[in-house]
Amino acid sequence: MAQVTLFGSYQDLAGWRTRAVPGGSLGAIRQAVAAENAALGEQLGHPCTLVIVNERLVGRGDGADAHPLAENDDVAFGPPVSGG
Amino acid sequence: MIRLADAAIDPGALLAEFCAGRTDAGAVVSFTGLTRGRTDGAAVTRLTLDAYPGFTEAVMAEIEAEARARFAVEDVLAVHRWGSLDIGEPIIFVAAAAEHRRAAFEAVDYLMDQFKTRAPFWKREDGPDGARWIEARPDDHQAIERWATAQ
Repeated sequence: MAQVTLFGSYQDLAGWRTRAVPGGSLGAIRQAVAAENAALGEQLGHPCTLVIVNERLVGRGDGADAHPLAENDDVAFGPPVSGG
Repeated sequence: MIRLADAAIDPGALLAEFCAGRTDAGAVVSFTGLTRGRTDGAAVTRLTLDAYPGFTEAVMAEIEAEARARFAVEDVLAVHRWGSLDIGEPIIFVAAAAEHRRAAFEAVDYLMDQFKTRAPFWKREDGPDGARWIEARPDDHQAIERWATAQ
């Protein structure tokens, strides 16, 4: 199980910040999330979404789906970085 | 050096610390960003920044390395607040030290443009009309584009 953390507006969309999600790849994690919350799944696959594994950026959106995951990897999804 | 701060920062104290004992530089330039009480005409009462400690500093450190490679600076310090901020509170402090002033001015300008568009912070404004997550502003992207052609 990977520990998945959501940042920014994705937390509001999901109603949670961190939870354990089963899956051997980022694509599997994304699909597991999408099965429960289609709108969130779509956002996580967006080509601007930051996909971070163990504090390292591994890709954007569904472009990172093939990335394999080990047990207890820390996975994070963040919306495109904002200005302000 | 990059630091994240989850409590109030004191730009005056940071500037004094950055200048202390420095004999290698003839110029120190600093920038302090404050939280605004109004965005595009709408009142803002509180700003909340979400960050990912570990990852956020790593991205900021990459930007610092770019600035050090690009400009003749001796040293750089950037301190970024995160968490819940009152209006008018310092949100970021950036300073650069250089032998001569031009490099220090340009390095701070570059660092701010890059941090605003690339540093992973997610910002939420709370106001009388509710809360909203901030999207990147068009002028942020224009600001970053000018570095693609600048010397």
